[in-house]
Amino acid sequence: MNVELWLRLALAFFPQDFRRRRADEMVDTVEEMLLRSRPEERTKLRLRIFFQITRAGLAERFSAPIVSAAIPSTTTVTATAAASTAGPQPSHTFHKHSRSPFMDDLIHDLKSAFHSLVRRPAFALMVVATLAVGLGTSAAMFGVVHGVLLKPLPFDDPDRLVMIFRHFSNEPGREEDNMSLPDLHDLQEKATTLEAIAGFGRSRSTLVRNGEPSLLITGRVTNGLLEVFGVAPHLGRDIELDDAVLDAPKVVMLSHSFWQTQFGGDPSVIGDVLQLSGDDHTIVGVAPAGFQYPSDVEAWVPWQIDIEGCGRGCHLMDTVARLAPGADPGSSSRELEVLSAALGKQFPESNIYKRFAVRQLKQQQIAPVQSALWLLMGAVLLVVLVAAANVANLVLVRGARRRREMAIRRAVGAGRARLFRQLMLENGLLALGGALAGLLIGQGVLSAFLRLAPSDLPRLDAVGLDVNVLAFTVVLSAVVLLVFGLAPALRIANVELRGRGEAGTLRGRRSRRVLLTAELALTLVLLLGAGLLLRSFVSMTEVDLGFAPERVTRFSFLLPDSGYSEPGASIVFSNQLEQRLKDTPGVEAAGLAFTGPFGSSQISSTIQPLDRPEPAPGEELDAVFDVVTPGFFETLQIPVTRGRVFADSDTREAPLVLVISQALADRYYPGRNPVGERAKVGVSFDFDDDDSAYTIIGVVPDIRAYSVTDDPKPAVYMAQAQTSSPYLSGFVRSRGGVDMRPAIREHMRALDPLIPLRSVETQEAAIDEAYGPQRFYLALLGAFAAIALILSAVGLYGVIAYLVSQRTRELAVRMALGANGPSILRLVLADALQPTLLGVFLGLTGAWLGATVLDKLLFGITAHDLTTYLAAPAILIACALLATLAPALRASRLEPRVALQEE
Amino acid sequence: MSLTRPARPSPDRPQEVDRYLPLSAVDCHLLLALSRRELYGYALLQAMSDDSDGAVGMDIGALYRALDRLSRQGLIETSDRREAQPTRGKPRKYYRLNALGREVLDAELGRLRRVVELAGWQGAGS
Repeated sequence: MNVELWLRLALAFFPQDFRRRRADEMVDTVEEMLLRSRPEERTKLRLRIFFQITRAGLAERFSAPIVSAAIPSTTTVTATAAASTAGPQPSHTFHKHSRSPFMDDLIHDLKSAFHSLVRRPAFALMVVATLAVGLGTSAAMFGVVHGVLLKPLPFDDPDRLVMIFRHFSNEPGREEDNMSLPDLHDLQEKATTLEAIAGFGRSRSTLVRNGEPSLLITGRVTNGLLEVFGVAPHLGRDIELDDAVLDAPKVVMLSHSFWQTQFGGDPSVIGDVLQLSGDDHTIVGVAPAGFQYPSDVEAWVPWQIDIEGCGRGCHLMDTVARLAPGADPGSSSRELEVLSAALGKQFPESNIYKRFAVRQLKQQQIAPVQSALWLLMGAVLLVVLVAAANVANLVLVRGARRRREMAIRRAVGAGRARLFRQLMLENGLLALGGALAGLLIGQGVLSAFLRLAPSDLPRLDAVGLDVNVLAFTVVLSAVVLLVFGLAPALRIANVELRGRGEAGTLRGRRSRRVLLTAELALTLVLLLGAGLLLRSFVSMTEVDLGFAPERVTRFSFLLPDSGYSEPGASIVFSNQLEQRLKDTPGVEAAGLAFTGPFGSSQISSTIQPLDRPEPAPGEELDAVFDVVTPGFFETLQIPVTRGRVFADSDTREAPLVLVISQALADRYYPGRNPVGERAKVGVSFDFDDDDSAYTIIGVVPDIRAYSVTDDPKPAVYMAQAQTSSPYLSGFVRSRGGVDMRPAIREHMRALDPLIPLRSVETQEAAIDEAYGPQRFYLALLGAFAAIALILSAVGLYGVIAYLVSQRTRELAVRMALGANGPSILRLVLADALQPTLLGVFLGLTGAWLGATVLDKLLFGITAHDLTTYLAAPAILIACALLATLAPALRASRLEPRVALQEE
Repeated sequence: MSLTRPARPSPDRPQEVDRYLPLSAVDCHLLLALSRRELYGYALLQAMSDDSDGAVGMDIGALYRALDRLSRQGLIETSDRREAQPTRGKPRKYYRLNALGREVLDAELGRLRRVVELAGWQGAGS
C-alpha cells in the first residue's frame, strides 16, 4: 500500500500489535479526512494528524495493559492526575503485580509526566531539540578530548613510556627532541632509571615487488624498540645492535598487517628477501599484531649510521624509553642530568651545554594540541550553559502557563513534594530525551570533526563515541537537569491558588531576565572568541610568504640507492628532469629542491663565516638548509637582492657556492655586502673535505618556508649540482591554469619507471595544510558561537513574546490612554534591550579578563583586538533586536478594544 | 433523548457494568454516537465532534486508541456492513454497540444524570 512517509513514521510510534489491528483503518480514515478537507488546509491538517497519531502512539506504548477495567484516556489524564496526587487511587489495582505504594506512585507520576509532555509536543520538542544541540556538540567534543588527551596510550604500562629530550644549560627554555646515536648508546649503557631505550626515525623506502614500485613507510630504528613497548615479535626477532653496524647485512622486520596483506600471513617468510630502496633486505622478524610505532610504519630497518662521520653533534633520531620499575619521570630526569653533565665534561666540543631529561610519551604527543582542545571543550560547555538557560526559560514560561493546573492540584490536596517530584520527573524525561537525541547529533558532529581535523592532530584513531562519552553525556544532562529544572520546579510547586501565581509575577519575570542576561553574556564570550580566531586567520592568510605559490605544482620522490649511489648519477637525473620540465609546453619555469617551501622535512645545521672568530661550542648559528637547482628561485619567483643565484656553471668541479637569506646577511654581515665572503657549513658530503669553504654568491629575501606564523629562520641554499641530494621535490610553474600532473608523471616514467612519485599537489595546497589547525579551531569555535547565537536569539524571542502576551492588558490600556504604536514598539524593544546590554557588558568584561587563554592560538592580533570587541557586541545586539522585532511589532499593532475584550 | 432506558444497572450483571464506570469523555461520546447507528472511522469522528459541539475534537489517534480498547473490552463490535471507502474503494469497517456496550452507556448516562440532578438540587453552578 502506498502510504505517505510522514504517516508511516507517525504510525511507527504505536506498538506493533496495535499497528497490526488498526493501521490500515487509520490510514483509510486519514485519507478520507484529507480528501474532505480544503486543499489549502491540508498541510496544516497533516501536521495536526501527525502529532495526534504520534501522541496516541506513545501513550499506547507506555500505558498499562488493559486487564478488564477501563483506563483513563489521554483526554482525562489531567483530571485523574490532579486527583491522584491527593492519594493512592483504587484504579491502580489493575496492575498485574502488586508493588509498594511508593513504586506505584512513582510509576504513576512517571506516566503522568510523560502524558503531560506529549500533550504539549511543541514544548517537549523545543526543549529536547535545544538540549540535544547542546549535549550533542559537547558529547562530540568530549569524545575528542577523551580520545586524544585522556585515554591512556594503547601499550602495556603506558605511564612508564617516556621520550628523551635535550635542553641546554646556557639557553634556558630551549628544548630539542632529537638525539645523537653515541649519546643514546651511552644512556642505554649507564642510565639505571630507564629499563630500555630505542632511537627511531620515520622514512620512506621504495619497495619493488613483482616489478611494480611503491612507497613504503618504514621506521629506521636502533635495537630495543619492541622491548621498550613491552612486546615480543610475532615471528623471528627484533632489530638488534649488530644489525645497526655500518655495512652489516641489511635486514628488515615487517609489521603484522604488512605481513598479512603482502605475504598472506605465511610463517615461512623469515629468511626471505625484500627489495627496499634498491637493496635486498633479509626478513628477520614480524612484529606483533596491532603494533605500529611510529604510526603507519609497515616495516622497520636498522639505522646504520657512520658514527665517525655523524657523531655526537649529529642529532638525527627521536627516542622512546621505558622507565625502570619504581622510577618516575622526575627521578629519571635527575639521573640523566648527572649523566649528561659528565658527558659534557668528557666531550666538551659537542656536549658542553647539552642536558637530557625525560617526559611522558603521551604528554609529548598531546602537548601541541592540549591547550586548544581544552579551550574548545570549555567553549562547548558554554554552549551547554546557553542551551540550559534557554531550557530553563522555556520551563519557566510553561510553568507560568500551568500555574492553574498546579494550583488545582494543590487545592485538592497534592503535597508540594509530590508536585515537585512530578515536575522533576518531567524534566528528567526531557533531559533523557535530550541526551539520547544529543548522542545521535554527537555522532554526526564527530564524523564532521574527524573529516575536518588537520592531519597532524595526534591520536585521532582513539576518538569515538564510547562508553565514557555516554557516561559524560548522561552526567552532563543530569547536571543540566539540576540547573534548568530545579529552581523552576521549586517555584512552580510552591504556587498557591490565590493570586496570579509566582511564575507570572515580578520575581518570575526577574528570573527569566537573569537567565536571558547570562545566556547573552555567554554567547558574547563565544562570539568574541570566534571573532578573534577569525581575525587571526585572516591575518594569517594575508601574510606575505616571500614567494609566489600560484600556478606552481610540486611533487616529490626519492632516488633509490641502487643506480643512484654515486653523487654524479642523481645530479644527471635532476638536470635531465629539470630540462624536460622546462621544455614541456605550457611551462613557464621549473626547478628542483631538497624540500622547498612547505615540504615535509627540514635540515638545520650551523654556518660559520671565515672572517669571524670561531664561536664557543654550542653557540654556533643555526640555519635551515635547502639544496636547489638553478631554476628553483625563478619558479617560485624569489627575487635576488644581491649578487646572483645558481647557474648551470656551478658544478662539482667549480668552486663551492652558497646563496643566503636576508636574515642571515643581516645577522653576520650587517651593513655590508656579503657577496664574495666565505663561510664553512656544518653539513658535509662525501666528496668535500671538512675544510671546504663555500663562497657566498647571492642574497635572496627571507621566505616563510616552514610555517606561516613563525618568523622566517636564517636560510642557506646550496646547489644540487654540488651536493646531490637523493630526496628531491620538483616545482613547475605553468602558464595559465594548465594541469601539470600528467606531464610530470610522464617525464618521471620516461626517466626511470621504478621511481614512485610521493605526492603531486599544488604548492597552494601544500601551504593550505599549514593553515589546517587554525582553520579547524576557527571552524569549531565559529560553529559553537553560531549555535549559541541562534539559541540566544530563539530564547530572547520566546521570552519577549511571552512577556508581551502577559502585558497585553497593560499595553492595551496604555494605547487606550493615548500611547501610539511607535511608543509601544519602543517600550517593548527597551524591555529586550535591558538584558541585552547588561549581557553585553558582562560578556565583554568576562571575555576581556579571560582572553589571554586564546593568546597561543592567535596570530597577528592581540587577544584584546579592538575591532573584534566592537564587532561581536554589535552582532549580538543586532540579533537581539531582530529577535525582538516580531513580538514588538505585534504589540504596537494591538487593537486596544479587542485586546481588552479578549483579556 | 429516548434512546436510553432508566439508569439502572441490569440486575443480572450489575458488577460487570459498574467496572467500566465512570467512562472517559471520548469513550462516552464514542458509545453515544454508535448507539444511534453503525459508523466507520471518519464518520465517527464527525459524529463525536458534532454531538459534543466540538468539545471532543477530531483526534484520530485518541479515537483509534478508544476503538481498540472498547473492542477489546467487549463493548463494541464490527458490523457485517461493507461499503466502499472513497479513496481506494476498499470496504470500510463499520462499528456498532453490542448489548454490554449499551448497558454500560446507559449506566454512565444515568450516573451523569444523577450528578446533574444533585448539582441542581444543591444550587451548584449558579
